[in-house]
Amino acid sequence: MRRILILLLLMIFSLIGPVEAYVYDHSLDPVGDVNIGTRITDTVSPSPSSEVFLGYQMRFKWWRPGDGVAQLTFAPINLARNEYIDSYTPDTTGTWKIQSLEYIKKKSNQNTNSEKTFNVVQVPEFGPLGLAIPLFLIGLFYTGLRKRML
Amino acid sequence: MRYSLKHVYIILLVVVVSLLVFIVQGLYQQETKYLKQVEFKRIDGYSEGTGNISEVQARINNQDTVRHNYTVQVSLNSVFFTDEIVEVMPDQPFTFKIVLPVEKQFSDLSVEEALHNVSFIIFRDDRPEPIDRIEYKFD
Repeated sequence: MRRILILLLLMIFSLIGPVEAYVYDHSLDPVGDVNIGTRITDTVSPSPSSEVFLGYQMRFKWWRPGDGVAQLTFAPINLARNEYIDSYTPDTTGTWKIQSLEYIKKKSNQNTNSEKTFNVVQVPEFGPLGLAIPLFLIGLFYTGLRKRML
Repeated sequence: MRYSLKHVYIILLVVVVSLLVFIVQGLYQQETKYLKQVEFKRIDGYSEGTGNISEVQARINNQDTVRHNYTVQVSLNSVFFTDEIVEVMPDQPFTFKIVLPVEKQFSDLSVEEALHNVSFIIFRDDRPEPIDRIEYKFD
């Protein structure tokens, strides 16, 4: 009797099957490591299996390296292109995280969580002093040279 | 002696120029650092497939020396939509942004009402009353 019950349960579970999770594809522009101060655009395409209607929104959370949210956006679905878009200009170096959650008719859909990370780097720059000092030294050298020539 | 004086003169000149550059840079940064605690912005635009859209945003600058939890309460057409609680560090601004279709939206399956108003109310964890609020109307 017990064996039959177990077999029945197994048959029921096999019929139900696993709950299909949404798959979201994040594509970042520009791709790869970005320099600090560069605007990054995240385009999220819903999985082909999910149907998209009016009233769909995506909540984008841009997490700073370590902790703290830098930006939170509610973006509507673009029905013509079937995608959600958001952008941000990072102000700190390190690993940033974008967390997205879909809202349907103004209510969050908990099965739709997805994440994407990217690195922000600092390309060395001279800054204002880096320009002022060489200019000053060139000027000094030029005046010294003129004096010698005269 | 004359030679060393010349060197001292050049070094002093370099120091003076460097100081001047630092002073100018400092003044410029002070000017740009003077920010309000909450800044609101509305940008109207057009999106292919969605039509007229409006982007409403609140930028929160924590001017305190310690981190604070801020609550951004949003209502659309006078109906509560969301209240997001975020921790904002000093000198690390936070931007809350919502992009909304303004016109009435139709599809085969549903209709979305036109947008008449959006309101933001901002709270900080150490104050019972809102620190700022705004309402944008669309006609």
